[in-house]
Amino acid sequence: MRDNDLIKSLINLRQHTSVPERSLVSLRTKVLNSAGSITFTQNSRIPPLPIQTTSLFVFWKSYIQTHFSIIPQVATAVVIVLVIVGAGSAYSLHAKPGSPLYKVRITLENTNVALHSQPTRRTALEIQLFDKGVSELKEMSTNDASSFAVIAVIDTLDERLVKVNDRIGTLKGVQLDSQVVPTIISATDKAIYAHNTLKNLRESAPIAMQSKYNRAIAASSRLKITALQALVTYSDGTKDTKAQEAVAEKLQDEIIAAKESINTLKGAQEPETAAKTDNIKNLENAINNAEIALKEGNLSIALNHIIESNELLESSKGIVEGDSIEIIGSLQSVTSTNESSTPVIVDEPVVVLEPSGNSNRSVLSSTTSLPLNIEENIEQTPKEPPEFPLGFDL
Amino acid sequence: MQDASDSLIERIRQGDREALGEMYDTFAPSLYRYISFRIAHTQDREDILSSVFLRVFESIAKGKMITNIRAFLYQSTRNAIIDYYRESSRSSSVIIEWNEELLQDEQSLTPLLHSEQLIDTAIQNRIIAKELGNLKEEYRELLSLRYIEDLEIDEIAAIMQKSHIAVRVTLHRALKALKKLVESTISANK
Repeated sequence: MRDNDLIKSLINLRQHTSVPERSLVSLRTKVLNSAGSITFTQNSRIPPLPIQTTSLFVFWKSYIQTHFSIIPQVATAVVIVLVIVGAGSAYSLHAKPGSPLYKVRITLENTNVALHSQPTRRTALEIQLFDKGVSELKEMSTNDASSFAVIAVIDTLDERLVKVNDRIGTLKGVQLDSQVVPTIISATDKAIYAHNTLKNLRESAPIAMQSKYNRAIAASSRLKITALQALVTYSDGTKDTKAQEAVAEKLQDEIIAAKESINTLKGAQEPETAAKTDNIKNLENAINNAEIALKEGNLSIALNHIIESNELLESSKGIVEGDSIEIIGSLQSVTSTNESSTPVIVDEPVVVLEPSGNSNRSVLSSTTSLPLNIEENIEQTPKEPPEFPLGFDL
Repeated sequence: MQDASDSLIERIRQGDREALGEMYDTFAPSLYRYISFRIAHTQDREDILSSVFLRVFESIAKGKMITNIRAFLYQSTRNAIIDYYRESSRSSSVIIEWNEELLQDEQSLTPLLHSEQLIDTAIQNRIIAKELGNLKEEYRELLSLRYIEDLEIDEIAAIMQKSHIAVRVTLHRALKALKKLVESTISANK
């Protein structure tokens, strides 16, 4: 039976339910006779206000009178100020880079992040914000935006990447939160996207902006590695197959990217030197080892080889662009004990951080099915990261 | 409708006795039907209806501000029914009466409709009426106010002193519960 049929039958019931007319007529006489004793006065002739206005008005009037003895003018002024501040904030939240309200917007966004008590939620919001920054930067590159506006966005982006990097490190205290892994996966995806987009944008950027781009690229690279390490640590600790597969996929992408870089390096028209040849050899070894470890399901070992290959790659390129290098900092190893902490790449050269309490490297179950078709599709343009899995809105 | 009600109240306040009769004639049938969905005994229904009208007349006489006379009447009736059940420990289930004569009239008015179809509808309607009587009181009240008395959700919310959303949600649940009862009766009869 459809709901509509049921409703139709109920409406029909209106006609079919019998109302005893005779009883009603006799009752009418009785009621009107009894009403004869009621004295009707004429003292209330105030026309009634419409129902909603009346109830609202009466409610607020009595509420203010009982709870606050505010002079109406002061109350009105407070309401006006609140409305102006509220409207201003709402307007500022949509301020475009280069607009005088852009800084206000950034402050409001930062306040919004700080207002959340859960570390995962704060991190998730911060991830959304830096991703928004990347999109804005991309949009500005096609719009001939002023260099002042671009620099403001890059600076903010850089700060946010650093913040997320730090926050990923602090997530170790909330291992039981079911949102930790999706948050870190999102951070990895978006850091990779940011890294690739920034690299592309840097190519067409004026020389004056190169150092700014380099800093942001370095920050995104650090975040990428930190997030990958955190993922490996968590997936090892939780034995969560889905998380392990997600990590394996990310590591595979990194291997593909590293192989592509090796090919570029080999094809470079610079004169061959012994040091460069050695470096390429070491690089290939590192990548091969990473590939083997990944095939065996040893995610932490694979990641260590990837980090090693990244460092070798940088030294091969002799990448010192402006005043920074792409990967600043280093990590000795990724451990995966139950008491493991999330290692963080910090903004200093060659710093060895925790963890190292237990040197036993865990080996993931060899039954874990991992994607192995590494050679497929080396992408040239940055791929849009998937939407944030948690559905957080600003 | 609102303006007409306002002028009716104003006339009553001014001592126009005919206005009392007009108010009774306008609202008594629907109020009686509303009461009949909640109280089984005919005499009790009539007592409640007359007491409600007298109470409302007194309120108007005292100058009480009434913004929606229809909602006010239903609210007064509802309160009277609550008092009735509070004072007596009667069961709240009722038998909803079905007017067969009206069904025959309908049959004569719609001769093109297949008679078997009419019989099916009539059986189904009778089952619905019966199961409506067995429904939880709150659900029955809500369904009768909304579909039989044709009140707006906001009016029902005012009468039942609930929020608009709460009324909508309960109404949805009530329909679902009635549907379940009707379907199980239909399948048991097959």
